[in-house]
Amino acid sequence: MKIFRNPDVMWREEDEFKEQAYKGLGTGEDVAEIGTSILLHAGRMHSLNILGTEIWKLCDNRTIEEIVSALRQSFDVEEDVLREDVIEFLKNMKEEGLIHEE
Amino acid sequence: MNLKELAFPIRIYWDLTPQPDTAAINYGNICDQIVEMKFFTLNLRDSGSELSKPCIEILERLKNRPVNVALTVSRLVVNPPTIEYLSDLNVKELLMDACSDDELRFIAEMLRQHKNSSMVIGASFQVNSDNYRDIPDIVSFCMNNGITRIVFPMQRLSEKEECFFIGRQEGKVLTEKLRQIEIGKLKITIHDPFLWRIFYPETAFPGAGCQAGNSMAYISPDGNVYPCPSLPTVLGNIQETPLKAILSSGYKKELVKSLRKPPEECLVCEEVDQCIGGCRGRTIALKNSLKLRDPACTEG
Repeated sequence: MKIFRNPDVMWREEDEFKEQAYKGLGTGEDVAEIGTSILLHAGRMHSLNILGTEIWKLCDNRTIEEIVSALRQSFDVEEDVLREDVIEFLKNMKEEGLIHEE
Repeated sequence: MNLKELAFPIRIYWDLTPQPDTAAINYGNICDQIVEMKFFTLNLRDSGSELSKPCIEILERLKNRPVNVALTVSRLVVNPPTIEYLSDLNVKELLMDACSDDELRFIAEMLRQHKNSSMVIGASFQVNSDNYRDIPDIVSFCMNNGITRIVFPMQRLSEKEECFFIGRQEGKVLTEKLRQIEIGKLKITIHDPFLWRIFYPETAFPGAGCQAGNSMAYISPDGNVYPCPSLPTVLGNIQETPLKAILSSGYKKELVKSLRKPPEECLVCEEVDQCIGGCRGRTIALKNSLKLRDPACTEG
């Protein structure tokens, strides 16, 4: 099953906050609350943190395993934990109509 | 970043008419800044009897840039060649001011003639004290004549437009009438939380409080920049200061912060977390204070 971003969603990365989050990751800070991208769909805004943003960017005709594999190159997290996070995140995104599967 | 403090807004409203004689605005440069700040949408309003030169300059400048352009015009401007031209310029939405049956019929006819256009064609209905009772009829007409897009634009209170809102009792009457209409396929844009309540009394307003200066900004024809078309506080003028500098100024950030605080009057209300004081521009326009609740919440 391949995952795709909903093309109707408008989104952008917030460069200043992305830089701040990556700096925090480097020094071991908790950066989960720093939004690094904003999405707009059906009048609602959504903010994604750094992991959410990276997952979102990978929703371009990839399977969950391909997304997990790509993320492991940037995030030092155990594979099973990362997979769980990705599955949970994608479930929420699907419920919001932000992604679809084919 | 969180949704209450975006680096830059995502929607910008830009009115081009009436064009003051003295304006010396570098439209191309402003377009470049809009792209640089990664706005999602530019909502242009050009309400003359023909497309203005600035409008054409802006559309041509943004033709292949990553920003969605919605254009609101008078129906006088619109004919089949204009629709082709605007579609070629990648205008995403063409909205026509519609206050009468004739204007709505014209939009329906244009839609019939341009069924396959990739550009969305719809109506812009400015609610005022003379026409608010017509809302159910307007919606019903749209549903019965293939019009699938309608926008209820924000009042230009920064431009001294008459401030109007629908009182509670009148709103209830409209809600009852709207309940009789199946509006599922109609894409409606509503900025006013109290107008939203009239349409969708059981659904929370999705705007998460006043978005003036946070997710939206407004440029008036003379180049003044406001946090919102309905909030009459000037942040700067694009003839004197770059738009990016205006939108990243400490003054703007402080104003957005103060708009996020609910008015004291609202703290006891159980809906305050959703509404956060309603339309703050209307409160400033009518009561010149940020400490009071939106007049539309209490009157009528």
